[in-house]
Amino acid sequence: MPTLPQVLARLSFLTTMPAIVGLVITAGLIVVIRDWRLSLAALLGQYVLVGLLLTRLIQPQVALTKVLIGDLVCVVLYLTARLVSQDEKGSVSGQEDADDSRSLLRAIRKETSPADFAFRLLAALSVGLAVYGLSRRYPLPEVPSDIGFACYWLASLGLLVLMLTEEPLKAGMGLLTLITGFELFYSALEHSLSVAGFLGIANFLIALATAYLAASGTELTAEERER
Amino acid sequence: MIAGPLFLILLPLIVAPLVFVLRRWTLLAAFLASATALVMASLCLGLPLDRPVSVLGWKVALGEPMMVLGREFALGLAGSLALGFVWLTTALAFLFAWRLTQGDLFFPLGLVVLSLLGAAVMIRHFLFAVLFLWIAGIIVVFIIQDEQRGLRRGALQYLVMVSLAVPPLLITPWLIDLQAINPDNLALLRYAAVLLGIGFAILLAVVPFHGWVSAVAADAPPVVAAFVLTTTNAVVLLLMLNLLQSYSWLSEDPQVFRLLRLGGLLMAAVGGLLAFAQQDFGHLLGYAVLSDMGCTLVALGVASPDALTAALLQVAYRAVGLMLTAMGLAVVRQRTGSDVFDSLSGVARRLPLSTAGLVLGGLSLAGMPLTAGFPSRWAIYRLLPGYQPGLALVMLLSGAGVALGYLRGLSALLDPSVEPQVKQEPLIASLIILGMIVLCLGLGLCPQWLLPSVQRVVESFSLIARR
Repeated sequence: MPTLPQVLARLSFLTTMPAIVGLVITAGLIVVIRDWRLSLAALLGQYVLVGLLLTRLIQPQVALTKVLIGDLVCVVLYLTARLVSQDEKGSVSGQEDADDSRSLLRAIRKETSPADFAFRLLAALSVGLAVYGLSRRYPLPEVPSDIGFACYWLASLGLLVLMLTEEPLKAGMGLLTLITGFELFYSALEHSLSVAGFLGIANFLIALATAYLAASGTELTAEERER
Repeated sequence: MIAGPLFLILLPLIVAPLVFVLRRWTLLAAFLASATALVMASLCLGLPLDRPVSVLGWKVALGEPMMVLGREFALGLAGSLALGFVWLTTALAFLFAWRLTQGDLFFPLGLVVLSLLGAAVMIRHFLFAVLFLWIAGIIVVFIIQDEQRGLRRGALQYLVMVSLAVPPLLITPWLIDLQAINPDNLALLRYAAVLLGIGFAILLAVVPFHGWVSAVAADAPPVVAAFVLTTTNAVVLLLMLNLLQSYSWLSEDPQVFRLLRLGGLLMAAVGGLLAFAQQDFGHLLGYAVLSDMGCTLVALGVASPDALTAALLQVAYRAVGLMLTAMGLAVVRQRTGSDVFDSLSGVARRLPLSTAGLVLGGLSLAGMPLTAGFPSRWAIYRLLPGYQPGLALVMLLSGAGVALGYLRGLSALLDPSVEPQVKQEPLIASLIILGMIVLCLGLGLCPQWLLPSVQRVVESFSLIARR
């Protein structure tokens, strides 16, 4: 069985441009797509890609721990999103065909109107341009320029998500994206394991808080339905 | 011998799970949580910092520093008084929540939050203080939302704003350390000051980052809102003062104090103006607090010993007014299911004590005479004309806006044309409100009660007060 350094050596080609491109896509998806399944998959991919980039800045074991925390965060959000979505389906139309609702593409189409999609895409592109300018003009210290761009990109798109939504789950994903961008930068400045531990705890608690807020909304729907 | 910080952090953390298990038995949970809070308050306020004392058979040295993973925790004079004040306020909130539930999680998580805030106050490293504060802020979200169905704006906004404040504050220590290695690079200190400004502006709800205050006040159970706005604000202010005291380049920079005054001015102006325009007591409470916090920042911006004394007194007296108005609001909301002026017509006749508490607490936040909020406001008003005459006028108008907001609410509560179908006030909650009314009026008449302690704290911030 290959060891962690061997695995990382094999994946080293991913720790440069492919990871940056991947992050551009995943964060972009979180902004543009409203469907929770695709957004959550993008968030999961984002944690893995950031973990790969982090191997260039910190010890691989610490980077792996951050990926694992990201996975846990996604599990918490997945379970909550599933609960919320099942409840919403129930409250909208109990007789809706289950197979029909399982179709991801249909769900995406249903949840994202063309105008909304275009607006979000345009907003993401505008922010992307600003991020490109910012990262060229004010490069972040202590990190390579490509990672600096990724930090700016994640933080800006996270902020954009927070501006575009009031829904707890989506806002939580935005907040986590923003913090992931910050952590990518901050890992180069602060190597303390205790700080990394605190940041991990904070990430996990944010996911729990987001899940709690989203679930509270679900209970309202259930109560309303009973009435 | 037990080091004080260990005791202050661990005791609430040990009691919290027990309180969580007992949360359905409100009497037991409230009693245990209140007793713990009272013990903590008496430890912080009563024990000497310079020598060990025997507590329940253990020798506790409150001022003894301790090391955890290479980080030092120590309790200073300002920290012990701030924590004592925060624990005392919380004990009162827990006691009130016994008869008028503020959510199942308020007791256990309130203890956890205060333990983390205590750690933030006591840890010597600013970076870790911010991290403790952040985690406490995230846990607060659960208390704000607890038992609320569908109301998520306040909790979500609080989560987002606390999290947004953290990155700039975390980067600052790195910049300061870097500048220590490169003493000629003064730009690093400028960046650090800007980042600190952004972080603290968000945490202190300086305009335009003020939205979360009214959202929390409107969405959270009232006593929880008062708990959050009192405890976190006191700890954030203490962290800011500690920073100013620690770094002479910050405390000697006139721009820092100018920004404090400007931020405070904006908060007071916006708070007063919007308070006047509100149609419900929840939002009104938020804007009243915003206006009052603005006054505190203006006083801190003046940075004289008298102004610092007035600012710290105001933080303490605000807690009284805020808790009183929140308790009154909690009863009104519980009995009527609403806090909108239009739906509270005539309620004062059925809930006289709660109405009195609600309005008197609000007037105290506005700094009206004979209330707890007046003496410190008056001291600030008197300091400002010699400094910047316009500021005093804005503060005065801001207080008037808040007072008028509460008087508009009172006129709805006193409306004689409607006979409300509302149950009588709960007895024990009413007695607590009555006690708070007496305290609020008493502090308005004898404000010097807290003065000696506050003056001792001011002496410990010599760098700020000597300007």
